[in-house]
Amino acid sequence: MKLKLTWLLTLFMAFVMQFSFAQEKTVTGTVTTAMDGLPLPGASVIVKGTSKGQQTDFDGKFTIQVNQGAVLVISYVGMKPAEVTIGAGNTYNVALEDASSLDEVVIVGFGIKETETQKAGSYTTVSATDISSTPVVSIDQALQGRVAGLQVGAISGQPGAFTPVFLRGVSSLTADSNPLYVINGVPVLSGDNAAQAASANPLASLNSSDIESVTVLKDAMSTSIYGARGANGVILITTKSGKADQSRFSLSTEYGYGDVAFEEFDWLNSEEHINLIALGRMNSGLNSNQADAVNFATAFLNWDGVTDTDWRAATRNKNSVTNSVNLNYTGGSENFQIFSSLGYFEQEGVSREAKYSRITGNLNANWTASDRLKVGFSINVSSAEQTGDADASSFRNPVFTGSLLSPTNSIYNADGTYNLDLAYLNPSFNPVAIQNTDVATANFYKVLANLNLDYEIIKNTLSFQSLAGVDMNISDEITFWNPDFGDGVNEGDVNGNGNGFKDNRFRQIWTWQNSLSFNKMFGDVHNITGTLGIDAVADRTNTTSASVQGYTSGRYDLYELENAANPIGASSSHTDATFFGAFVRGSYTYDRRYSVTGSFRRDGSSRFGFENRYGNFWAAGGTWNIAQESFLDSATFVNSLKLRVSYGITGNASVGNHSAKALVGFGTYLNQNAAVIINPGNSALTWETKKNTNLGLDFSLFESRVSGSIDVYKNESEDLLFSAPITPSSGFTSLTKNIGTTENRGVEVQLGLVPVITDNFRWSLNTTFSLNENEVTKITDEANEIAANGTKNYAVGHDPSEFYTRLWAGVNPADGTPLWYTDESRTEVTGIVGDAELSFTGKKALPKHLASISNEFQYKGFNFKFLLNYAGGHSVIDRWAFVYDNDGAFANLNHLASNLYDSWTPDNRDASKPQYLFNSDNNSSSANSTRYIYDADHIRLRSIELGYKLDAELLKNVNWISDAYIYVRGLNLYTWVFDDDLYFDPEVGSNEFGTSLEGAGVYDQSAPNLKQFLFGVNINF
Amino acid sequence: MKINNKLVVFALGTLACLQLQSCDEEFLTTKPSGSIQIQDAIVDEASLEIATLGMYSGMQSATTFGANFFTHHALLTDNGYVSVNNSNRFTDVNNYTHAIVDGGTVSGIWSSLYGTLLDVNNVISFEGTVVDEDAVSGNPDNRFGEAHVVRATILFQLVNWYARPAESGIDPELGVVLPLGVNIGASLPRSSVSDVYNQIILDLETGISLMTDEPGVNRLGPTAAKLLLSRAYLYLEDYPNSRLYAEQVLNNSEGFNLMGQADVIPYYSSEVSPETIFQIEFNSTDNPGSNDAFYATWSLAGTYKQNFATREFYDLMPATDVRKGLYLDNVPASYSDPVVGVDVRKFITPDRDMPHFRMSEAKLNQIESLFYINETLARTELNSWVSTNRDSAYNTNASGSGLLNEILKQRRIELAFEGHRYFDLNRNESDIQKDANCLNNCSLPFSDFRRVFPIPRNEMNTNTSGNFEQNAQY
Repeated sequence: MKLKLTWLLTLFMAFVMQFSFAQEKTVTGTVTTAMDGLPLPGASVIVKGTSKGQQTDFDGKFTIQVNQGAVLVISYVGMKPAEVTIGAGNTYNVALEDASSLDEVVIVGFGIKETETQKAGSYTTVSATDISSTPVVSIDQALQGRVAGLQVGAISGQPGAFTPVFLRGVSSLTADSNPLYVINGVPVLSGDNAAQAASANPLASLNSSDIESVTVLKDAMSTSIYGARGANGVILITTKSGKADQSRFSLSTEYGYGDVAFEEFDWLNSEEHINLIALGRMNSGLNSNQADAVNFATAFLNWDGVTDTDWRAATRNKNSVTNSVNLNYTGGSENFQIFSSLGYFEQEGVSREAKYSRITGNLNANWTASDRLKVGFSINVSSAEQTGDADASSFRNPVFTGSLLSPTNSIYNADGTYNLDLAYLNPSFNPVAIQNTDVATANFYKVLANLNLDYEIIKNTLSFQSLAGVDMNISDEITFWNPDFGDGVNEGDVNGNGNGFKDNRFRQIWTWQNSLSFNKMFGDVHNITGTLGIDAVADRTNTTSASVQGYTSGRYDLYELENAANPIGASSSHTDATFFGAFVRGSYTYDRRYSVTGSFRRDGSSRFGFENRYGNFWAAGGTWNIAQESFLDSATFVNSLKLRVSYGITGNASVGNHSAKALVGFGTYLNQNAAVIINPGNSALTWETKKNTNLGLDFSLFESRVSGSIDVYKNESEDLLFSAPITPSSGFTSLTKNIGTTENRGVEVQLGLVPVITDNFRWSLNTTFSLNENEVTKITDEANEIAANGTKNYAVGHDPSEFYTRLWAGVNPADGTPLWYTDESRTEVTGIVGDAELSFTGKKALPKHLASISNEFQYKGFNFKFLLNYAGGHSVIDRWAFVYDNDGAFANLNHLASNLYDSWTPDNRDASKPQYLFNSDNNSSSANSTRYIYDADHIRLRSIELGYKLDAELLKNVNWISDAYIYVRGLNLYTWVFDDDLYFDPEVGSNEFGTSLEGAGVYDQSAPNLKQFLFGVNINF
Repeated sequence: MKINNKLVVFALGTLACLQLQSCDEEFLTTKPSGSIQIQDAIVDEASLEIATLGMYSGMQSATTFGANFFTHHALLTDNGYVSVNNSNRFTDVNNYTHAIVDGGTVSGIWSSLYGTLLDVNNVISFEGTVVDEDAVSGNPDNRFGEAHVVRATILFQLVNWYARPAESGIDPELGVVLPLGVNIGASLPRSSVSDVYNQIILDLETGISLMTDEPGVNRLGPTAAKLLLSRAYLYLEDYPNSRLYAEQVLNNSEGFNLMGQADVIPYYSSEVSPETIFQIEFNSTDNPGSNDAFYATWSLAGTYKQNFATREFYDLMPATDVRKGLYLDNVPASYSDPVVGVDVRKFITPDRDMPHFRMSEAKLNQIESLFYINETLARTELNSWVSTNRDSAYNTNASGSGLLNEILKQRRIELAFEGHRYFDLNRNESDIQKDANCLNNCSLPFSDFRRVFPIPRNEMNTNTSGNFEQNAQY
């Protein structure tokens, strides 16, 4: 695919390059900063109205062929662009002025523009450059390490898998804790959108290279305008738009290989597995001599004495290939600009059957229809295919089975057929055979479109904005279990062997926003801005599913449902949620020194009971631009200094669409309708609210060579939407209620430095640091704790992500039996598992500290950069260790080598594992406990890149190329873990439970994360 | 430019709409596509019938009547075991590690039974409000009678899993929660064991008095109610009453008949037999599936072939006993347990209806009751029934405790893998001794605290009725 595309593009370019230019002359010049006269490397010099241009070198110099009368546009990020008309001369020096950072505008949603002066809340913008330097499938993954306080998790290395994101820790318990994603003003589908796939991320449908910027809104001041959906933060994504006076194609291609990022399992080989079983037989007294024990083990595993299969290698790709091609065009004139792109991306996962491929298209157009009316339009379309089998303990999960199968099993029989009589949990689950025959494919189609207009009713004072947008997502998933082995064997079932499942889903979110904006300066010092608007959102989900049984033996190509004999199930459903809000937001600024901002939103949602349908959300904040004060006039090293303070209330409405209603649904009995109560209902259900206080300081010093911000925050979330346990004897185990309170607080630092800047060399670095603490402060009036899944428990005074299990006290040196602490005091130990209380472990799944350093070095055309991420103060648990790190159970499965080499024997009384007793699980030693919890603190080399920019000199013979950049880079190339015993990736999570919080830090035998080596070229022409 | 005015009108219009708040009431009202509001559930005879069937839909759960009750009775006792070559299904019950407060098996059964009980109580709460319509066959009283019998059936299970046997004298106050109405989220205390039995008997008598017709073998009717009365009185050691109701069942005029020797093997492959009084219906599209159905773990034809009958159980049956043909002595050598087990051939397809009440139990209840009333008659009935209906060579001369043991042995064989063994051992206060295939907790005297389930942790944590007590030693 990639090769073909490249050739087509080359032909296309060969055609384009047939342009020639007459009457040209060579013009040179130097671009400097107006403030200090220093040369400005990397400034863009473009001949207005053409694609022709270049960037200044490290001396700020440029040399360009132009016609007399042409206009050069010189621009640089953070500077005001300048234009120079070429006259008779040949040398043109240009000094760019700082675009005052205080006038820089950020759009915080609903068309509301906020200047740096007005900024009272907390948000961080990530640029396209930073996004593109982390080569990941979905945009959310690219944000890791770029925004202080944002933790980007991972539940699976399956390309296209959902990425749980925690902004400023976690405050919601049962309700969703993921932020709201808004693309070009349209709230979009996020979360885990899989019906059949192990996990699917709707954001993976976006092409990261189409994204201009991402703004992460963190505090109530910034998010309260989103009212009921703002509590977990809002991530605003803006796609690229065209630039006036340009006409430029950009082509980028990338190719690379991947492998497992971090995995240090030490498994047994065949002989060791035999020895382990023999050890267990001897320890249990079942055999009295070694030879008998070995004979038993050999027969038990049906070992031929030779076979030593590496099942992991057999189920995994040798190299997981990543490949992408993007072509985009940007251009336009003063009144009309477009950006369009086409992209292809594919990435293989670790397992042989795992892959994600995607085609994207994007068109963005802006039209200035009159001096009052601006119209914008954008559409993103994508088609993605994701393949990859189940995760967790499913026998068909190649990660699970590929690890647990004893190496004594052969993949194939002597006659070349698959070995379907394995010594395993079920003899026919040969993972290689299943990978080669079964189907687990999901197709995802997305159309994201919006149309917006901005009409100035009173010039520069009052304008009207309207935006209508729709996010349509279609998914089409199919699963096929072959009729001959594995899950498709339904012996005794009249419907036959082989299963097919199909799920189609249509998910549509549309929004319509209208607002009036006012902006007026009075007497040169009083500035008032205000916005009044309404916002309607409707979210519709349609589902259709079908299942069949009875496939033809041996015909694995005939996997579509039409090939099966018997339809088993068919169903369809739909569900809707609607939101309607009205908001007002205003700010007053005095003399660019003091600014106050307030916002209010009243929201209604279909999800809540009639009496509690509406909620009020608001925020207020103030800003003091200290640098504008006269007493700092003499402190010339201060470029800007600003104090921010804000307080506000936001909401969370993440509950089922019909949780408030008491409902009766229909099952079946005797082929007739059978009605049962399916939802207890709670008509008093209403929003979860979050009160947030944020204090911030922004600074820029020494000609902006030191800049950054510090934020301190405190949140209190009340009336938590909680699937609260109720007495099961009353008919239901849980009821969605508004109960419970959590608090969280933290500090965030974002710091940018330019330690070295010389004529040829520039070193810049950005660091982030955050500290976050979460605490449950109330559960209900009656109870102080509530059990949660994922080995967690919500209790007053504890972090909600704290692991809750038995406290492992190691091995009794006297007899090799397990020991646990009886309770949290850790004063007494017991050998009886029933006497070991479930206790808080002090180990949390969410990191307390996050930090990152990104460095960039530029030397002449060379560019070297890397990003290091650190996460600390957290732990992970292996949910399935009891299967392969126990002390005798599941003897026919492979075990960690430590079970053989470091389990208790009379000669090894200090062993880390209890005595290994054949098929007995030494006194329940593998019961869930802190035995399987590991410290997850780590540093990861998230991305690293070395590139070279081909300058005009080198490219002068290829006059159709304006510039080119070639690079090699890597993702997750190295991981330092602080716990020597940790054998799986510290960045793990599970989606087997209700929420991302419950799944946090749980290793669930999902696909391992990838590390990648990539080579790429970017060409502009 | 005209657009100017239009936009202003539009903007004002939308803002005005906001003021009125009328245009968004409709916008903010959404309805689920697959359910109705609870108050609309039972409005006439037709919807009453649908709600009545809903009770059975709940009972189909594999966790309870649909499959696992049969499995647990076998694995908790000496009838069956989980092979060491297993897929980790039912290992908790097999090892008695289910008996922990936060165990999934223990809380699953509790939640499932009480969930269905809520639907039953919901139906009963409409008693007297539904008018008999000519156009709809049957009458509402029959449906409400059915609901009472379902309630008794569920309560009988609850009180026997979660409380000590009625006549054991152990913790008689620690029965189970006894909700008789719809109050989701309410906390009720544990009723005494005898109060629960009183409610069971009252519900069964109410059911019998309300029902004029048998509703069909897949639903609970008056004959099933009488059989459960016979069983309940047996558990209460009220032998005259147990005998009375057993004989009412045996002498029924509804066409139910004891099966003979030739019927035994076909009984388990066919679903139609006059032997059956009540069986949970399953069909090709409505069944627990090949992973969770009874046969999935018990039959060599199942997806997770791992559970077997014990050799000791198999050896109870002489070759002349037709029931021996329900077990196949062909377990492959790849199952490496010390004592080779036997394949269970009862219910070998996922859609096989699961019988919970059948005629032969009435016979066994009658014989066991007779033992305490008239030992000679008991022996005569035993010899007659076994030799005629099961094993032509059978003849026992046992007397006293020997005869009782013989009666209980025949009950064990007859009702094996059909949900009786564990309760029978409990009510007779017998110890449990498993065979050599057992690796953990193999000897459980009646006094062992694990001979009753604990109240699940989620009930203990949420029940605020005051003094809500856990079972002893948990």
